Amino acid sequence: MDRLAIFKAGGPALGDLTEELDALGVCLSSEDLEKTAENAGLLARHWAALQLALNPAAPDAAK
Amino acid sequence: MNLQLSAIATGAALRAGTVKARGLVEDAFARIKAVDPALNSFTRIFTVRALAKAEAVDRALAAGEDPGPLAGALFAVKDLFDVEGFATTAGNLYREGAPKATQDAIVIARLEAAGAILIGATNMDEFAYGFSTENAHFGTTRNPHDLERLAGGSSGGSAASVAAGLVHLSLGSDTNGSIRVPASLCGIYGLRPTHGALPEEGVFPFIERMDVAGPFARSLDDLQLAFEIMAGVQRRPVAGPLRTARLAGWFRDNAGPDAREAVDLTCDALGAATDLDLTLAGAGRSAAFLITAYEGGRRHLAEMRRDASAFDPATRVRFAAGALLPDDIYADAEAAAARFIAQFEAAMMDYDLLIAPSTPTIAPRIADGAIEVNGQIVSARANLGICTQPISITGAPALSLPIRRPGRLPIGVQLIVARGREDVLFAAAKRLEDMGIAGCDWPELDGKAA
Repeated sequence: MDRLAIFKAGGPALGDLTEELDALGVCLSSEDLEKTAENAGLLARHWAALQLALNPAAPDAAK
Repeated sequence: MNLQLSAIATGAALRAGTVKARGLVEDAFARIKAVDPALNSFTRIFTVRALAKAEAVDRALAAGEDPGPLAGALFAVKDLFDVEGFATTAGNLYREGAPKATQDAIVIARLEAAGAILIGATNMDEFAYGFSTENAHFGTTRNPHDLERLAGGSSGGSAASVAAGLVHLSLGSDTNGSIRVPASLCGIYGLRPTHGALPEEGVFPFIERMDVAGPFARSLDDLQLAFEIMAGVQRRPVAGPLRTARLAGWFRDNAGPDAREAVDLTCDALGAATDLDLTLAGAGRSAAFLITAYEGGRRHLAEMRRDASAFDPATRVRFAAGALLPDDIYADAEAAAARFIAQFEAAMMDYDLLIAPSTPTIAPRIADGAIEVNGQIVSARANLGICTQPISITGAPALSLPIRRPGRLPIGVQLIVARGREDVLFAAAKRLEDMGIAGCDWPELDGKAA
């Protein structure tokens, strides 16, 4: 699974997340997996939010 | 002994012979016993050590020696500072079985060498990952101004213990705002020093490129003295006008009415007529959020593999999500952080002092667990630092200053300066204190604390 792709999609689906955590060797309960997916979705939104700063056209100067 | 006296005034009373250090410590233990069951600010009390140190201070004074500029100052430390002979828990119950620290953190040693007396260790979000000091192992620390509300975090126990008058000073750590947030909600001074200004040896790490240790106090003079002793430098007074701006944009948009009122009062008092919009601040905050998740997830991955159930449930799901972040996203976060830092540092060429909210709101109710930010209801644990995180990523120092508002719940204002210019922070804060804008209001705590 391409981890970048699952974050591009706004955060991983539960199945993908479980598979990825298994690959990392981390075991969580089903309740924790759901909350981890919520947190991963939040991280995906933060990644999207910093694109402004990565855009070369973004203003460097404060206003 | 009245702990409403500052640490400096207490030292003067000791030297005048009107109090004894041992009596101060015994009074503090009695006060903690009476008040702390409701607050839950302490996780451990170092009874034997504190009494021994107090007796050493008394002996020095009896012999005509000066125990140091912080003689008899009682202090506490967040439970991630090494204390010789004890395991450093970092807010994780299972770390009570970790090897005991073989020496004190350097900042503790420096305070004690100046005559201060370590009383105990304080509660925190597990591994410093949160802004609320809700800890599944050690319980929730409550706000001394309203026991139904959060003290903030992650250094919430350190802030609450000072605000309640249980100690004069305390130490916390600030990675994303963990000193400034609880200082704001508990109505005391809290300093995030310049990254690297204080030695981190003996402090349990979280995100090393952003971690700093720093002090809390009810007295600005105490705060400055403690900082200078820990930093090993004495700052010269700053004279003359300061080029001051109010941070607009991200910081204004995410501030609620109490935070805006406090910032405006501060700006009016300091004559800050300019609004400055750091247009990349939101991206800077997101960069800090992602870097924290990525590095935190990797730092704790081995333990998560061994036994994730040993972690606080609220922490392990954040570490697990962070551990999944790929390197490409981390690289994007670093690039965005670099661009925001460049914008911030360019702005600091034009201004000596920036003013922003410390927290978007007053302390939220524990039962709610949420705050309103810019029209959205969001998690308090993850978002109380929305105005502190962008500053953290720059490495610049910032002071959360309590705004006087008797009869109302506290809120703080962030004073922000260029790296290494804590002297400007203290000068601006002193002006605000002298004008009656800044200062600590005592919590009632049913009359137990005062």
